[in-house]
Amino acid sequence: MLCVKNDDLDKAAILYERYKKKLYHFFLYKNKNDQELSEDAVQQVFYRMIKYRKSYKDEASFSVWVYGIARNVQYQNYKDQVKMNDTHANYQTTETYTFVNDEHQAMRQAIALLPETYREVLVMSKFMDLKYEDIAVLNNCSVGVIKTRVFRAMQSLKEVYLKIS
Amino acid sequence: MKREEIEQLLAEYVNGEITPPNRQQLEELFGEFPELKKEADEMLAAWQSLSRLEENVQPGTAMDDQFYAMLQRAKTDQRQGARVISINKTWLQAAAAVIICFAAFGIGRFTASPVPVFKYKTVYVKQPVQPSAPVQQPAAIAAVAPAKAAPVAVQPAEPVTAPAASADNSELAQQLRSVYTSERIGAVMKITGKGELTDTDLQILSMALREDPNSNVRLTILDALRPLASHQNVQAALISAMGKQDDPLIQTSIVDMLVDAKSKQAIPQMIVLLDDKNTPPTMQNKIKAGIESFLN
Repeated sequence: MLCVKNDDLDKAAILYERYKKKLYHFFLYKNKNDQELSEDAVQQVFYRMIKYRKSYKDEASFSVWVYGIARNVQYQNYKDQVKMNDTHANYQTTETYTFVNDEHQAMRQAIALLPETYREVLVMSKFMDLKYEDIAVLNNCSVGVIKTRVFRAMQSLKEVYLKIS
Repeated sequence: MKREEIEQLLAEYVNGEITPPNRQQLEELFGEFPELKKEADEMLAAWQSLSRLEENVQPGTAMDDQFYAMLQRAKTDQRQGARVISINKTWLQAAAAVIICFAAFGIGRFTASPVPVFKYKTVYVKQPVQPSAPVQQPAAIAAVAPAKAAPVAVQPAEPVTAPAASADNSELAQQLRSVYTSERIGAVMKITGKGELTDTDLQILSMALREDPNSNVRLTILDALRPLASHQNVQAALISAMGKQDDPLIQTSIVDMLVDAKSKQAIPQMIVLLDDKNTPPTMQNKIKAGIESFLN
C-alpha cells in the first residue's frame, strides 16, 4: 500500500487480487447475497482506495484501513437503498427468507438472519481475516465482547449446519 | 470458570487464535465436560463450512475488468494531473508576481500622504565681526526641503542685517549684533543704564546709530543719548550719524538734539544736508531754523 500511496498504481492490482474475495464476501453478507451490488461495492472500495491513497498512514494496518473504507461504502449504499425504497415504496414487496435444500444457500441465509452485531463480527473475522483485537478497535469495544459475539453467532450457525448435515 | 470465559475460549478455538496456555486450559475442560467438547467440535465444523461457502461463491470476471479499466483511467488521470499541475505552477507564479505588484502599488497609493508636507526652516548664523574684516551680512538661509510647491516659507520679519559693531568682544556688543531687534534694544538699554558711557560704549552706540537697519533701535539710542547731548563726543557721534540716516524722523530727532545742544560743529554737516536735494522741505526748514538760532 505504501507503493500505491507513492503513486505506484500498478501495485494496486496486487492489493486488488489479494483482497477482492474478502471484500466481495463481506459485501455479499451485508447485502443479503446480492452479487451485483456487492461487486459494485468492491469497485467503489478500490476506487476510494486509489483516490484517497495519500490519507493512508504508514503505521496503520491495511486490512483495518480498507475495512474502514468498506464500511463507509456500505453505509453510503445503505442510505441510497433507503432512499430508493422510499421512492418505490408502492412497488416494494416484503422479503422473506426460507431455508432451501442447497447447503450453501441455507448457510448464507442463516448468516443473513443473524443480528447485525453478530453478523458483522463473524464476517470480519471469517471473511476479512481480521483479528479479534482489530475488530474490537474498529467497533470501539473490548476484545471479550467481540469473542462473545462470535461465539453466539457460531452457536446460531451451528444449529443450521446441524440441520443441513 | 465463568460461562463467558468459556465462550471466549471457544471463540478463540474456532478461529485458531487460541494461545497454547488457553488451549491447554480448554482441553482440560473438554476432559472434564465431554459435552463441551462436542459443542466445540460442532462449532468448528460450522466454522469450516463457512470456508467452503466462500469458495463456492466467487466474484465474476466483469468485476476484474471494471477494476482494471478503472485503474487504467486512474493512471491516465495521474499523468494528466501531473502535467496540469506543472502548467499551473508556472501560471501561478506569474499570477502571484502580478498580484504582489498590484498589492504593493495599492498599499503605497492608499497609505501614502495625499499632499506632501514641505517644511522650511530658516537658519541664522551669528558670526563675530573681525576688526579688519568688512561688514558682513551674517545671515545664511538653508532650506530643508524640495523647492517645488512651497506653501509658506517662514521668513524673518525684517531684512537680516545686523549692525557692524566695533572690534570689542563684549557681551553687549554681541547683543547689538543680534538679528533680533528686541535683543539689540535691550543691549542699548543695558549700555546706557550703566550711568556713564565709556568711549568704547559710545563707539558701539555710534556704530549702531549709523548702521542699524531698524529705526526703533536708532530712536532708542537717540533717547539714551539725549541727556548726554552736551558732551562733545556724543555730539560728534550724532553728527557722523546724521548724514547717514534714511529715515527723516531720525534725522529730525538728531537735528533737534544738536540744535538744543547748540552744537556749532554740526553746522557744516547741516549745510550739506540743506544743499542736498533729497532732504525733505520740513527738514530743510528745521535746519535753517537751527542755524539761525546758532547765529542769534
